[in-house]
Amino acid sequence: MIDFIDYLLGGISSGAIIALMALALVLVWRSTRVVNFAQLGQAMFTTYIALTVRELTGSWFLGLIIAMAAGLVVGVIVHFLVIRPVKRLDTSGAIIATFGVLIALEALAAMVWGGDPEAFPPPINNSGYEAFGRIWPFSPYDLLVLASVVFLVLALSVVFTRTNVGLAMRASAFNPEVARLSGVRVNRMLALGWAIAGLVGAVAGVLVAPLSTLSPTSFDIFLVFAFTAAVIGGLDSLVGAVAFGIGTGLVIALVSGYSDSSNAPLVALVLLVLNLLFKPEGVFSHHKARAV
Amino acid sequence: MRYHLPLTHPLLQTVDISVSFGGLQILDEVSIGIPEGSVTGLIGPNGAGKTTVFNVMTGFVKPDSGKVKYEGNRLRHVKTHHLTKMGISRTLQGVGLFPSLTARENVMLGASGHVRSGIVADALAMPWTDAEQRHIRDKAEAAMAELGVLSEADRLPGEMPYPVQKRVALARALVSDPKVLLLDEPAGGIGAADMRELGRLIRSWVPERTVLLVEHHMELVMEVCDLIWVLDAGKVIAAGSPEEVRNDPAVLAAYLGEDDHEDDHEDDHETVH
Repeated sequence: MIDFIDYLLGGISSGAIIALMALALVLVWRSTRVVNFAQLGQAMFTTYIALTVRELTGSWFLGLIIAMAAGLVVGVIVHFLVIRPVKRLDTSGAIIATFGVLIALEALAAMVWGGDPEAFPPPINNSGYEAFGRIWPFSPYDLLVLASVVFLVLALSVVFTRTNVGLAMRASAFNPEVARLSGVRVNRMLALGWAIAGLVGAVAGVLVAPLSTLSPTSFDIFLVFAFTAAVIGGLDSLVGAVAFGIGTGLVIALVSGYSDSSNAPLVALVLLVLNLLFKPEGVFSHHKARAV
Repeated sequence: MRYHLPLTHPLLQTVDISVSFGGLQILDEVSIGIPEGSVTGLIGPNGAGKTTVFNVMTGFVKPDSGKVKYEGNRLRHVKTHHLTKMGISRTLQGVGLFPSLTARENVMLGASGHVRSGIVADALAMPWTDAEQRHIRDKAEAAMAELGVLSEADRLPGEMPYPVQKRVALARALVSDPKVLLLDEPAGGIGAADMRELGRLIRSWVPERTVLLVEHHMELVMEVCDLIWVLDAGKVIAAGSPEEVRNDPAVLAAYLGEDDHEDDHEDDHETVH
């Protein structure tokens, strides 16, 4: 029983990070109906930027802020330089093109920073809290991760439900023609979707790096988890992405705990297949419930 | 034959607009004008090209030739999202509401062209954007009140009867305080009582606003319009007052042509028997 609790506790922060990654995928899907397979490549790239800033200035926080800004910029660049021109021809082409972006970013990162894994130490203590005479697998760093994710998700939900821009983004995603007639600058909103996704991905990257290592391909595995969470959540539901992101993190922690962490991707794929078999529209799809 | 009508003050007009899709001529040198302060109707049998005229005016369709003029100036490269700012508002066939947004949010969207604060300031919920948000909210609620749907403000479109959804869509078109309203079949799918109410509403907007109406319900068109343009197979075949249009032989032929066709069919039927 105590094992079970340990595994769950250990899975919370990675679940929260997977939730952010799934959120980034959902934001892009909602704005342009493209699954961005380069999302975590972008996150990897901005995490390298954070690492460089941190090495130069000694500040983890400054690294995070610069990475977030870089995430915005990379998101916009990918949208305008690759997705928009390709999508004009063909939507599925745009999805393939995101693979191209992923490969290009990984190659570029290897050229700039080298292909060897780099350590990205946590900014604060990452050893578990001690209580009731034992050490629990939940550290001050886990707490920081959780707090950051909660803050970001709340901030995004305020933007989406309480501001003109959020309203305009939701409208642009649903029906661009009607949104244009209402005076919404739709292309700008789509770019903004990519930008915010880039920012969210950048935060996820900086937060997840201390839990593994940083190399040009070290985030690839998270794409499987984030994609699973996003699809099960319904692909266009922010709530679904967060709920199933955390859920996926917990399932992975249990699988890794009771068997071996190399089984985790397999379990994610099984979840994905089950979902597609029994509830292909996703659990939180707007066809059933009101999606935020 | 091209039909030209002397117009003193066309607020919005098309001049010799031609549109073709895949070798099919949808509009053939169509010139129509909407006098300022009038309710102008655009009618014609199915497939005459009425909605295409709207699509050209609102930048959804680029004409092969011809131009659109608004307030005497040529509109080049009509950018759809600029229209509400210029004072042009359009409703769509059906309702075109966003199903996951409440009625109030749907109507507030109609004022998007008037949002001045930047994306970043808005996202950070700066105090001045709060004030703007409130202002837009007030305008949305005023528009909903004008259409008698304020009580529905917090409901989703799917929870309302169809005629109420149509009113919400009209409120969204009104919230930007347009000079010109382009209404695409506003009476589609609503009952007789709602239609009379709609007629009164449209008349109450002029002469402050100008209305272009595409509509199948002839009673409504004849009742509210000052001027009617008649399209058939992509060409203007007649224009004038409701009285003139009603008695125009070309119009009768166009509409009867449809009926003739049906009659032919029935005749065929009889010969079979």
